[in-house]
Amino acid sequence: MFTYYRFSRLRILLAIACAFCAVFAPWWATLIFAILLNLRFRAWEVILIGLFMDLYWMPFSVSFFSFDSLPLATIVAVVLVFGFEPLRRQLLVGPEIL
Amino acid sequence: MTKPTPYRSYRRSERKSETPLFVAFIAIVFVVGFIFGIDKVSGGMVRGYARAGGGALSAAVSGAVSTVTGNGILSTRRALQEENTQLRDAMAMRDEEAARFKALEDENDALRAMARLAIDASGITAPVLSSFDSSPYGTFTIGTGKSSGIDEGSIVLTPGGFVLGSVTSVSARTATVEAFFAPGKKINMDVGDVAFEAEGRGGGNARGEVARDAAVKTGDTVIIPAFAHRPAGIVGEVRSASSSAFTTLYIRLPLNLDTLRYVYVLPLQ
Repeated sequence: MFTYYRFSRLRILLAIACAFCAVFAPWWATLIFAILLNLRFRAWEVILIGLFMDLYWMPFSVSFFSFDSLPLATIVAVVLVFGFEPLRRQLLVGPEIL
Repeated sequence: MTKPTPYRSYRRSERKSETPLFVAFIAIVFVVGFIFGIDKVSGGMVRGYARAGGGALSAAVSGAVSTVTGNGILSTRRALQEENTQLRDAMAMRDEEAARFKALEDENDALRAMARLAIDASGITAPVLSSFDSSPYGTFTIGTGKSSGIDEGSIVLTPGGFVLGSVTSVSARTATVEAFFAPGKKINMDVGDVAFEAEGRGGGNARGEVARDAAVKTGDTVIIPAFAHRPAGIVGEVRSASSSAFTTLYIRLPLNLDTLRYVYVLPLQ
């Protein structure tokens, strides 16, 4: 069966590292972990981390009518989760199919 | 009749069991919009909870690090790290003091009187709680809040007196500061007699354009008229192409933000 939505030790470790980086590390470190997670898994938790990042760091309330106050981290997280779906379908198939 | 291949039958049954992605997408957009909507309507309540959670995490990690480094196991390494940090701080302080001296030279007494510059304004020293690189929005958190009289709009200075940013949200003991040189943030500045609009580039850097014949040179102090003509940085580089009518100024803070541990906050008057 497809494996990209399974929980595994790797996924939990990557998710913890991603969440940790959202507060303590440069933003690009969070992005790297989010990309790694989404390359291998359908990682819904990345959206939560992106949402938290916006709520934690944004200096003002979100407005979807101004480009300057868009929740960038949440948008990037949603794009990663859904945008990488075709790639995961093509590359990360289970051994039964092969 | 041809029997379907195992591959095709497998894919068909697999697809049936999958979550329909468009439903998930709509649900996520709805939930995210709902959360941000609640935050906007409530005046930042959700952000307050998120910051309280992040602050608790910071405190927990800081405590754990102190425990690990304070038990003597890593004492030699720790001593070296502290010495390195102290030396780096001393160097940064020296650079900033030199730039500040230049800034004070540039500003004559008459200009200060006209600008009603409050040199002796009383403020609060606050620790910097987060890295300047962590936020994609050019924000950082400091360890002072409403309990110390800080409010939204309070000005944050470096120890040397350079304007760093303004407080955008406050909780009881922490505050979020938006740097004036946050990426994409535009702010009006003066260098000498020349007014211009600078755009933040993050990391304590900004960029602006002045007329080609403007008398601006590297090392000149840049001030923000809106904040009592306080210095905000120095001109780090001046570039001018022969084909352009403008000169590009690369502005930077005269200190390394990574070594900045404390800032000075001026409460609203």
